[in-house]
Amino acid sequence: MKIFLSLFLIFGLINISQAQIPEDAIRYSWFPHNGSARNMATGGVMGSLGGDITAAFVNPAGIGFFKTGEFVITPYYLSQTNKANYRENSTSADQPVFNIGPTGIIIGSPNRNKPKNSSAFSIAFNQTANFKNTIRYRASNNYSSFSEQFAEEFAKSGYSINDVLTTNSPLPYTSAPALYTYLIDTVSINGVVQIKAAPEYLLDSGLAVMQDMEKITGGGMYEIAFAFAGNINDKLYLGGTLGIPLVDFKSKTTFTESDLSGDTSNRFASFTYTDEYRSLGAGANLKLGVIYRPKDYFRIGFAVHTPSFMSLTDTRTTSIATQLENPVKNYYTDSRIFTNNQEGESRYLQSTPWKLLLSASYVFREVEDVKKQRGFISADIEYIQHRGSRFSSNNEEPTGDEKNYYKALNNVVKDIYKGTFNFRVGGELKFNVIMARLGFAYYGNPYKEEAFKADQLLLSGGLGYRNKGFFVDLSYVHNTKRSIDVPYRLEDRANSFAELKQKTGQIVATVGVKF
Amino acid sequence: MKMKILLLAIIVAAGTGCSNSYKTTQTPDDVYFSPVRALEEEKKSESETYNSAENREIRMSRYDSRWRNFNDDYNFRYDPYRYGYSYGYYYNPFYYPCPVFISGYYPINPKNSTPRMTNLGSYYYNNMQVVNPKTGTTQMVRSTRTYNNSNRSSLIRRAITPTNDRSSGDNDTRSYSPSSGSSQSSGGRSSSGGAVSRPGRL
Repeated sequence: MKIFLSLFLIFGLINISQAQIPEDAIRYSWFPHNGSARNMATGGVMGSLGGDITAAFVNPAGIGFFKTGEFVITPYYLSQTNKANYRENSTSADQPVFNIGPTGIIIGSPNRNKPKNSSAFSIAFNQTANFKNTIRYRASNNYSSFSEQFAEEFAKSGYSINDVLTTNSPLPYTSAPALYTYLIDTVSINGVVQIKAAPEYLLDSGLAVMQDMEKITGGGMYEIAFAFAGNINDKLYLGGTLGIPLVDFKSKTTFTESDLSGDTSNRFASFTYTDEYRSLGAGANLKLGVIYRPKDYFRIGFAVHTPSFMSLTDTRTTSIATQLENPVKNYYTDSRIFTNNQEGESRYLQSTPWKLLLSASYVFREVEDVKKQRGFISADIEYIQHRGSRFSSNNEEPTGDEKNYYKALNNVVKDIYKGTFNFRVGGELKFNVIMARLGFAYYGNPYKEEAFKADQLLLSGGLGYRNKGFFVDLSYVHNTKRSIDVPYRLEDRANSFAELKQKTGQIVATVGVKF
Repeated sequence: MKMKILLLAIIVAAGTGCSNSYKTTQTPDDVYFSPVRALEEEKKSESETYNSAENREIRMSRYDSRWRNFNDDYNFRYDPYRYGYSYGYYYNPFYYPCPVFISGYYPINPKNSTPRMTNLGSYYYNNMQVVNPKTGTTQMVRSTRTYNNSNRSSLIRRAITPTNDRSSGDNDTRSYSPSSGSSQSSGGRSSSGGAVSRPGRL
């Protein structure tokens, strides 16, 4: 009853949230999992190992190994450096982060009549994904302009200028402020009225514009996990987790384009577009798993994670400041005048992909005397079908345009992403009360596009101490991540993208008490 | 963040409240082996048993019948929701004889719920029909998308004008041709707001 009351409070206190462009799909599926310091030091292996609170988030059958009680807390610190290569120009940005990894309590209940049978329950909290990041890049571009996406969107929309420039606009964040500030406007070419963006006058004459991009993101994805597992005869372990994912994603993008030619007669001087939005929401998922010990020392595990079904709400404000020439004039507006003088708010439903996990472990000496315990080695293979994310409107009265958009969005997600295999390998050597660990993990490329190089490679190591009823684990994880960022997309021109290389150093500490 | 702190505080309180029984014995490592704890005798002292709440209630009910009725589900006189101004009165709006008037209510300006959209057409790939020279069969192959990541690229920018060759596929996509006499596009949304005037452009 208390659990259901807690769930009710959580859903009642937190707004519902949503994601609405194809890039949002992999935000909630392509990240290394966050575990305890011991788990992170061994590459994140937890598909068949068990005996760690991280199992509640990976394979809940692993909770079934507990016949004792345990409380753990896992603070971590990470420092990340981003290098972006955009149109042959490199830029870097740093970002420190402090947060909480798996923290919670496990209560094991042995069967007094059948000592080889037991059950265990755990409640744990974890930040499953960190979104805090800063990306900057800058380069000149003689081929296309950021503003052309607004011209393209407005021309294809079929709306008139009067339709868009209203207090409840159908294109309030992009075309409406671009039209209001004359960043895009109508122009008669060969007797046909066209939509043209001001920077195009430079580009059409063979000049380049300087582009500056800054994207600052924050927040994270969190999960509260209620896990229950049973142990049958110390051979078969079955477990399930009810997960409550909580999403808080914040993003502020500032894109500036300017004319560096010094020519004041070419109609365009500069514009700055800012886009600030926040996605808030909550959902639910299930994780089911099994671990089997065919004989002493060997463990094999299998787990399936259902999609996280999340209800999200986006609040958004954009602004455009345009400086035009010939005649010289400055214009500024923000999107609120097109969204009834308040932030726009859209509600949507998003589901993340299914996840399958297969694992095996060799645990040397599963005996009670800790002096005889020697170590373990374990490996996980995980499959995630990234093209399985789905979106739908959760607005009270979704329009025909909205329904069509979400349908097309789901088709694009299916078209541009693919399934990936992730690998994790790790091991531990145990010397009575001291432990030493090493691990490795690889997360594959979720993009179908061959030009987009993306993957994550994690190398980790750590030490642990366990004595007198408590334990301390300390780990270092080095993550090298390759990914891409497309600042804007045009249908009628070749697009540009930035190649991102992120290096992250993460220090994880777990402190626990046995009871 | 506040919720995280609250949750952490609850968990810390739960953790620190538990006694640590492994200070003098080996600390188990559940990854390797999880021992069954020694059975703790949970004998309660006689005074604890005597003073339990249930026993106190039984003892009191021996002397006064009111305590016997306290947990009696069939005693319909005990009704905290009974309407009236006597003991047990509880406000129930369904019984309220007068219309309910809520003061201070004003209609709220509706929020614009436009999704955070992008031009999805820019993500699509064209499928090409390719004939296998060996088997002679045709199959659809996903075409490769071209990217322009350098100012020295061989791709030359073309101004998009209505006079370009329409067969190229990228022509005339930016004509201003709003749906006549309508404030709607395909299937949908009407502009319900008032007009916003642009500042003058000299």
